[in-house]
Amino acid sequence: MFLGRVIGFVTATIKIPEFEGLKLLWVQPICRNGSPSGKAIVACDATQAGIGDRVFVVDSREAAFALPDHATPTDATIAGIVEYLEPSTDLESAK
Amino acid sequence: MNLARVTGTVVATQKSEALVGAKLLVLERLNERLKPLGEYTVAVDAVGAGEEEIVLYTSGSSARQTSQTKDSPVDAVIVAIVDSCTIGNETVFQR
Amino acid sequence: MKIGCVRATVTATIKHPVYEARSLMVVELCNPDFTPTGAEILAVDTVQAGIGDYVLVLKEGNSAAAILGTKNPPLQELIVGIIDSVSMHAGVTVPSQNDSDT
Repeated sequence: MFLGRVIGFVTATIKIPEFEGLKLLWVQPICRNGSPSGKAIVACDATQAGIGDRVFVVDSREAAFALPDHATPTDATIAGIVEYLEPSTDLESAK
Repeated sequence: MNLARVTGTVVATQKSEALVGAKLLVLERLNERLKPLGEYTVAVDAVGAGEEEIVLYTSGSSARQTSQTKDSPVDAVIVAIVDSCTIGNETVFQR
Repeated sequence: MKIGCVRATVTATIKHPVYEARSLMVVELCNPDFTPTGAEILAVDTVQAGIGDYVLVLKEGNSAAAILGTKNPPLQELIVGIIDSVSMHAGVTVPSQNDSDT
């Protein structure tokens, strides 16, 4: 799992049936101080997150377990929207 | 998931029996601004993607969850053909 | 398993039910001599670890499921121990609480 910030989204009409109805969001992985760490990825959303939200992402095979269908072929899923970190180390103020 | 451009096809006559019938495409990974990252992957196509198309692919054991790749020796599968990609409020790609 | 230092706790209201009543921590991964590597991951605590503690982090989904007693939990990373000391060829290293913030 890692922290990230939602920076955009992707739309697709032609997709595998398992992805029907899923939101696909661009997530930039971040450190606890909000600075980017590594390359942005696309994640399925299990939380109704929006652009600018600070989130946490489950990766690997376990990513599917955050969605209703545990056999979804996703390798990254947003599993929660972060309210705050304690101690607060974010350079920007939370969300 | 990652974004990629389909840059080629792999033909292999001699291959694992479990891969017979699978369409293998060469993908070049792109960042959120569709800039090539110089990372190449060979993925099984589950959506009927063509050369030069912008696609989304799933990696790792999650790639074995689509109906086409169930129980196959697969570590990357194309799961969607991208229609549009938005970062912030800017559409950076439209099919 | 990896060695890491607990840096922060994460509070999230909207989250998958498996995280209800569990502590989610930001863990900075460390070398065996407790120097930080700079890489950060999130892990669920199972041993009452606190900020500044050096911990043992497990990263394997099936083991996480077994420890939590849940089928298919959407996570791999669990804090499964608080480290007292690590001994290497160079000797025994004991974490110091003072270098817990970088």
